[in-house]
Amino acid sequence: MKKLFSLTLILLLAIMMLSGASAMAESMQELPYYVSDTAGLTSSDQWQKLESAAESVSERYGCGVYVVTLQDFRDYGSYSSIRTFSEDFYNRYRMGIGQNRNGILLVLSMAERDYCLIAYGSDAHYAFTDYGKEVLENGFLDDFRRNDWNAGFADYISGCEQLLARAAEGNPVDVQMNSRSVIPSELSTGIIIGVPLLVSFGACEGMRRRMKPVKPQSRADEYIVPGGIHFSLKRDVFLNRTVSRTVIRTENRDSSFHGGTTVNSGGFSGHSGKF
Amino acid sequence: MASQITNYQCPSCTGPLRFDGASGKLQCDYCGSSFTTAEIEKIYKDKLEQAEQAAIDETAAAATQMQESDENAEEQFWDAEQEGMKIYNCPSCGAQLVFDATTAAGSCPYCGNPSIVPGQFHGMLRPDYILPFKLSKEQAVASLKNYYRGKKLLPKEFSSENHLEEIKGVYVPFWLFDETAVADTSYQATRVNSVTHGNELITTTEYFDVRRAGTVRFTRIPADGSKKMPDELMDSIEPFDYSELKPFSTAYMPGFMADIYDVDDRESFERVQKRGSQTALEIMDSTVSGYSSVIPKQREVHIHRERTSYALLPVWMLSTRWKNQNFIFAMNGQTGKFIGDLPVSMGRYFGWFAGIALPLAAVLTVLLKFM
Repeated sequence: MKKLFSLTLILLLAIMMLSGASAMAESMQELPYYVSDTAGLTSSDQWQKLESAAESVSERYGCGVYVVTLQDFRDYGSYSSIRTFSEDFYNRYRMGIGQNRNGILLVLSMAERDYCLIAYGSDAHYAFTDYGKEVLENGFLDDFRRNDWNAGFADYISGCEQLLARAAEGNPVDVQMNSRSVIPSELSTGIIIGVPLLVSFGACEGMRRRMKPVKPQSRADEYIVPGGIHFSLKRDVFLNRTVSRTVIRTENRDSSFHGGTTVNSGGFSGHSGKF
Repeated sequence: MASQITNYQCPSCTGPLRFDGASGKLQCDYCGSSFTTAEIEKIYKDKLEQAEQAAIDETAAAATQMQESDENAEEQFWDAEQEGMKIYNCPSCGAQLVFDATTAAGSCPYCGNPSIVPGQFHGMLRPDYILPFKLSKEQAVASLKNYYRGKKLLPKEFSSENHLEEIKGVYVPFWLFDETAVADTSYQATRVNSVTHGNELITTTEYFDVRRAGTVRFTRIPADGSKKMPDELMDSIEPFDYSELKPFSTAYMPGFMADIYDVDDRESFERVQKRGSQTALEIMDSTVSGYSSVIPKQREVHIHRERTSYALLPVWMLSTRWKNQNFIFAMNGQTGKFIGDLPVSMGRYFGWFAGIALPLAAVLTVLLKFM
């Protein structure tokens, strides 16, 4: 089955490559599977289970959960990035479910270990917020970095299921709903133990100091003669100036979310990177 | 010997007079008469002068006797005086009074009448000023009880089980120093400004050489001149309101204890010098502002001592005893400022510690769970 699918997809991609974008745009064919592993990263059994799981989630929530793996996305046209390839791929194969073509697509390009995660359709954008996609990625990128492809795809599909389930409850995973997870558990434990100890110590030491108020005076402010302070010299001399320049290193991704989903002019949300 | 000591007797009934802080007058508890200090000073002027002269004569005679080698048994008895004690006869009941060598006013333990030793105040020992007591013994006791309130770590039994061992109003000898601090300080200061331009953080650091010099004049910084009084305790009841200082007169003393100094002005000045120096330096430091960092390079201060006054200032001393330990408290006899160290109950300390920490930990656990 998997071989049959792979051959089908390769054939489709070959047509896409040979005939160019315009010709493909006219064909508007639909992909027969949710998990399209043309790079051959999974065994047949693994693919079967992943396909079954993706199909089940997609049909249950009315939102396509797709995976596409390739050797190199550049083989299929003069795409400037895996993102443009992925968006084009999603549109060309009319991916997504329902009138709004709701779906989420994970593309892996193995040549330079590129990945792209995009969502399309209003329901998909509602379920897969920017923060939700970050959470999703954190679930599978570690697996891919260890070349554990099956586990990565399984985590991706189960993660999609959880996010879709939360959205179905009217409670999509977003920044405000998940600020708890921003605080690591070790830090939480430290706060729960450390803060009360510090506060208690400060309060009790304050009380103890009130019991021992007798101490020698070190200052004599009360005895300064009115108008008795005179400055004979007040001098501030500028010596020199130094200027240093530091390059601000920014992360590839802005991890500070403000909630919601950022959708581009093509109707897609998501981002790409390396694994 | 008896002529060295005197007491103020009521001109109406010859009963002993005592100084009443609230009214500022000398009062007779027997007939209820009251007199201003000026009236009593006028009446007792000759008597005080005689007592003072007697003291001078006694001192001279004692010095002569010291030079003689054939000491008799009686002289050996009076060696007690050289060990820091002086012996007088009470002018009221004739009982023998043994006073500390620095005691200038006290009371007879037999008849309770206030006694003054005017001879203690002759020459260099005569104070320039006296600040009369304004607050009474009863107010001091009430202040002690009030002082226990709100002290959360005070052992529960302390306020009920401890008992007042002694309470006495003492005119404590203080040196009041006028001085001028001449300070000269310099600092290395920096002002740092950072701006972001594109993907660069541009940090500009400007370096400055800062210098401050000037004078700070102080007046009447007090330092107690009594070895008996803990310096920290006397420092802690400051300040006194010097506007109520009076020219020295023993007429303010009946009913109170009084000491003459046994720490001279030179020794006391060392403490005052440190306070003046520290204050002047911190005033210089406080004017160096607007910088990101300030590092002192040079901090010099010279203290020029000016006028020195000698005054007796009013202090209520209270002593309590609890679990074989003495606790001494002092109250400013003019302003009522009350101070003294109290025992700490470690049980209460850890009780409060747990009482604050555990609920706070519970609240934080709940908050972090729902965040």
